[in-house]
Amino acid sequence: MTYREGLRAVTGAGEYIDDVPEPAGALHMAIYRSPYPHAKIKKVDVSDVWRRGGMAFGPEDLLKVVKNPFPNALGLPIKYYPFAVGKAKFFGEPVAVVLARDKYKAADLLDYVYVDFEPLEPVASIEDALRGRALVHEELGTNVAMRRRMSFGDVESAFKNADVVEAFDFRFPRHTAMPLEPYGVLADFRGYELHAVANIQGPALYVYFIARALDIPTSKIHLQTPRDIGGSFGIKYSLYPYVVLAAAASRLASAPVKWVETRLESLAASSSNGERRGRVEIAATRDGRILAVRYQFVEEVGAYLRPPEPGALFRVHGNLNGAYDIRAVEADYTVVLTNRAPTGLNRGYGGPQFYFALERAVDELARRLGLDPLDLRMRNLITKFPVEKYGWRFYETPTGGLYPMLDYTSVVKAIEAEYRKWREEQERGRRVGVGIALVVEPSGTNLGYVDVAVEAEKRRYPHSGAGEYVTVSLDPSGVVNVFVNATNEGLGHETALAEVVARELGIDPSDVKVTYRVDTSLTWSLSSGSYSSRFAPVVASAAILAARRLREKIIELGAALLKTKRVVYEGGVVYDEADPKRRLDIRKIASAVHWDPGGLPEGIDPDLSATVFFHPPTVKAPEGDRVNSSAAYALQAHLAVVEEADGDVRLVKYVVAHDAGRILKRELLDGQLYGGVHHGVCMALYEELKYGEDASLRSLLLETYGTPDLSHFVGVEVELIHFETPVGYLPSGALGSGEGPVMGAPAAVANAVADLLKRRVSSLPV
Amino acid sequence: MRPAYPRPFKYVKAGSVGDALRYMEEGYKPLAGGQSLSTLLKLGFTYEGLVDIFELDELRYVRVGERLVIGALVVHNDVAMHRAVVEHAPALAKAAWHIADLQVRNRGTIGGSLAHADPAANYIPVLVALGAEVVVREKGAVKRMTVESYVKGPYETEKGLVVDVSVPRWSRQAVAVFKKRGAAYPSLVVAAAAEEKDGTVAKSRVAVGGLYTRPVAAAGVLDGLSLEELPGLVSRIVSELPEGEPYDDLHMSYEDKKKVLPQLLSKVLKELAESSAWSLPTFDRLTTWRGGGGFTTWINGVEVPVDAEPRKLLVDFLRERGAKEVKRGCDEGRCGACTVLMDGRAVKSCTIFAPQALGHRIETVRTLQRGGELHPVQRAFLEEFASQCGYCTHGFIMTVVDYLSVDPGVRDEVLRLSVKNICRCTGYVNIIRAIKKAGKIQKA
Repeated sequence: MTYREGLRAVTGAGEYIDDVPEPAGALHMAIYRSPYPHAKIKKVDVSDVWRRGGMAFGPEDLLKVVKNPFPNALGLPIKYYPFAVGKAKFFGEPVAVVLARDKYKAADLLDYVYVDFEPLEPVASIEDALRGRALVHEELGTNVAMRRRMSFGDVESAFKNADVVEAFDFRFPRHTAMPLEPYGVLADFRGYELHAVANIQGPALYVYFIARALDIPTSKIHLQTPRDIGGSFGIKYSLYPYVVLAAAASRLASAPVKWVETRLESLAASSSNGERRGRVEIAATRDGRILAVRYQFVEEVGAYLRPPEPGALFRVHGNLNGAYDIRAVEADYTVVLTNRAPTGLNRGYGGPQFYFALERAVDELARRLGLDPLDLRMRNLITKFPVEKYGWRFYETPTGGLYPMLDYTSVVKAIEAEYRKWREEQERGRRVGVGIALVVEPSGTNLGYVDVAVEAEKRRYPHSGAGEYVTVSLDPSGVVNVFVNATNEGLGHETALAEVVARELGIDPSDVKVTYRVDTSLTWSLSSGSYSSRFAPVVASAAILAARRLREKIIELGAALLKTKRVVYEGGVVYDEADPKRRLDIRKIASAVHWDPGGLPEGIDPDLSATVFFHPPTVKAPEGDRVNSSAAYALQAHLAVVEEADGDVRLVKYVVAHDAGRILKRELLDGQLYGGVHHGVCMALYEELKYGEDASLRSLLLETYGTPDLSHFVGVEVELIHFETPVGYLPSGALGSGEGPVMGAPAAVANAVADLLKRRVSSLPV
Repeated sequence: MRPAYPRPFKYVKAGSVGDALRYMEEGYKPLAGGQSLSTLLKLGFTYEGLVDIFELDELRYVRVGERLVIGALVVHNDVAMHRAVVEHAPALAKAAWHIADLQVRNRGTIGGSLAHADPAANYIPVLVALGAEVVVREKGAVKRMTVESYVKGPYETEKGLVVDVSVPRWSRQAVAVFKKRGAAYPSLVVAAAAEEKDGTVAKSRVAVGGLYTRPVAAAGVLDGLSLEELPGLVSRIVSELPEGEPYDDLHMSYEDKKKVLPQLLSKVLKELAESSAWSLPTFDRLTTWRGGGGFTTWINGVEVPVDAEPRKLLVDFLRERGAKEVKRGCDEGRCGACTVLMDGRAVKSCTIFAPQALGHRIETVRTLQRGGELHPVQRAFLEEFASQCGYCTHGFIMTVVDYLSVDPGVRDEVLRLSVKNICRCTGYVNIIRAIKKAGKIQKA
């Protein structure tokens, strides 16, 4: 076994965006960014830059080649360009670009861009946005981008008949998972074609945004990613505005352009989740049966509604009942614009906020009822999966989700011993807090869920994108090549896919070569990419189907070469069923077919490749306001233990018990779980992108963002408990699991802190 | 918002203290380890000229006499680990252990830290508590003053070049450093020193840093008390501490610090009363940093001319010369992704300017794996799946190589104080396992 990406990492052999050789004559781009969160731009003068040996372009120049604003999911008349037009709407918004021979010189020349700003009253917070005294977009006439109220099941009578209604108000902070490698783009606009390399993350939908903004057909865009991407966690999806900006600069300058973001810029203006405030109301019986739940969320998305926003609200649409058998759910959503950086995907997209709200509220309900929080959860846990579809059983949620059958009870019970142990420690007087959270983790996003943001009658086309292409082929020496048009941001997909494909073909993984990178000149789909933990349910399934198809071809060719009808395929060898000594291994077949295709009998196809597009059967466009928002749903039970140390709160122990279907590669799965827990703990205890009352950003450094380092986790014990139920409706049998931990950890840690300090923890970081 | 690349400055390397003083007369700012200065430059501060004093090894000494004298350019790791400092000024050594991380401590100097006078500095409150003095040279003058009078306010000191620091002997001393959550810089430092005779305090000083814009000290507050009484005295000392101008830092308000202060004081007084044994690594060596001069540096064994602007960060210089395995992950010298070995010691190449590499040997992972075999640290990282995206991995490996030379047994206490690189993917679980495994492989 070799951990392929790991070998590159430890030998320093990875190739990241800043390592990609620059085209000859490349110029480095520096971005002049607005120092104001909200200001009218009266004049931009870049002429001095030209006099000093650089090139510079302001909004008027850029508008000549950036002909259309980016679309938004609600069809609102918001004009989002990758630079400020008319006024700057967030701190750090690009206003002009400077090009020079190197990045130091380009930075120096920013001093000679003169912008005449007239500061305006900023919309600094959700409250400001709702008050509406100042407007982010005058043409909208309001700061409210969306209001939607949706009801599923009989919510009203559930609340009427409830013994208790627990209401929990909360605030969830802005957070960025902050990949250590910042954004980077190499753009070369030549001969009316754009060649770009960027460390962008899927879904490949952005190709359409880029094409539309530059007003060129997708056939004129050749976009690639480098072999390695230094982490993304959703953040690098929002790189596409910079791809357009660099492309525009390249077109105007008539030279290749390179841009690599610095950390300051990334914290100020790359991407994050939005701040959310809201209320959860739970209607329950006295003995702890949850009858209904009502969500009122107000989410700010910054200065522009950037696709796929307001998806953070809808990504969890199919699982709004969490892990519980709740048949009545109401969601009341408000989305507002503020003078903050636009938001986007951030690990767990929407999940951390949602489960923090739900799972904290469930804890408060337990306290109110005088029940043990674990017992209360067990009492409401889903145990039956009555719907039979696609060769498997499901629990259908009131909002349209289809949870595949897993043993929920066993997973939750797996944390019980540890939970009781710490409760006993407490009884013995030890000052610790214990918190739990249950998470149904959606994976393999249905791109169509964003449509629920719009009333059904206003939707123009159905959407249900979720699939992926995988191509496998056999080379002349018997090596299987696998190609996926998606991004490699540290998930170990080359290693995992080599093993998945090798297993199907009965060969050694070292005979499988995996290429995992974006190249829009090859087969791709709008849903292509590495996001929403879709590798296990979607990509691995496509690879398995492709490998099976290749195996069929190998069998057919083997039979033809052996000149027999009935053959058996086993361990990479085709043999004559009647005379097993007559055999050809993959190597020999590959060699024979590649070298002498003319020698094959008439009618035998010498094609040794297969491309498969796999779309999960459960993923359909929304019907009304119901949608199965993800292809798959795993289950996780979280346990967090905290203690007070040196006047502060400290994590002592963390346990995740989970069932994510088949385990494709245990070590890589463990890595995703550990990393996800870490990001969730960062949200709970450490990190926040803080804005002041004047909408200025207070977190421009790791030091002020609050980022912990290795030393903070020495001595913290993290335990993983795996269950494995291969699900029958996916060829891989596997469910995603890269995001469940980040969805559960903010809630579990907050519940532990609430338990320790005996107070209602309603805002993060604690 | 300027991308974090330093603006141009004039750069000279001082050949002697006199040389340095002459340039300082002309307005050049002295550049010692540059661990704070490089970050300020990246964040947009401008200096007309820097005079690099870092290689003046004549300012690197530790002398033990009536007082312990530490040369200005002794790096933090030597303050932390040098046997003489540990024996005579354990509170100072412990404060040094709490400065940033291994790499910063390899470059940062005690004199540089004093001259920078950051209100969050680790040393200053300890030196104030110990009643330390500083020797400062200006052209034609040598001045001696207490650290208290040398530090005039946040980032403000008396003029001149710090030559050395001298610390009187105290039989008992203690320090506590408080950092808020993810912070690298402390918000509060409390230190105390006492001379004890037959269980009774004869002479004492307590100092608090970070609470006010300057450290404050109270002398004699513990005098006449028995050691056992000390831990109970917290509120009295709080009330007897002189007041200053309240100081809110990036992490904590003055009010919040006041709430934490009693706990810290209690910890310090307890430590003072009990005086526990020293458990951190100790060495007799004193690091020198004099380069060979000339116009070249050595990158993985190959001599390379340094023809870059002085402001060019070493990380960029190395990458331009093909060492692309060296990464940059932040703008504040924090994340450690740019760590390389310089003369065998781990340093952050984003805190060093290209000409500072003249005559030194820079090594990356390419040196470790020369000959085709993986180095034990590489092997451990690979086997333990201690990388995901791989962007931080190189910096981690180079840091751990040096760390293992300090703490081959990989003890949690030392690891926690030393390796503070940032990884965003792994949650550190497998990295910590890999470091422990690497320690075992190396031992075997």
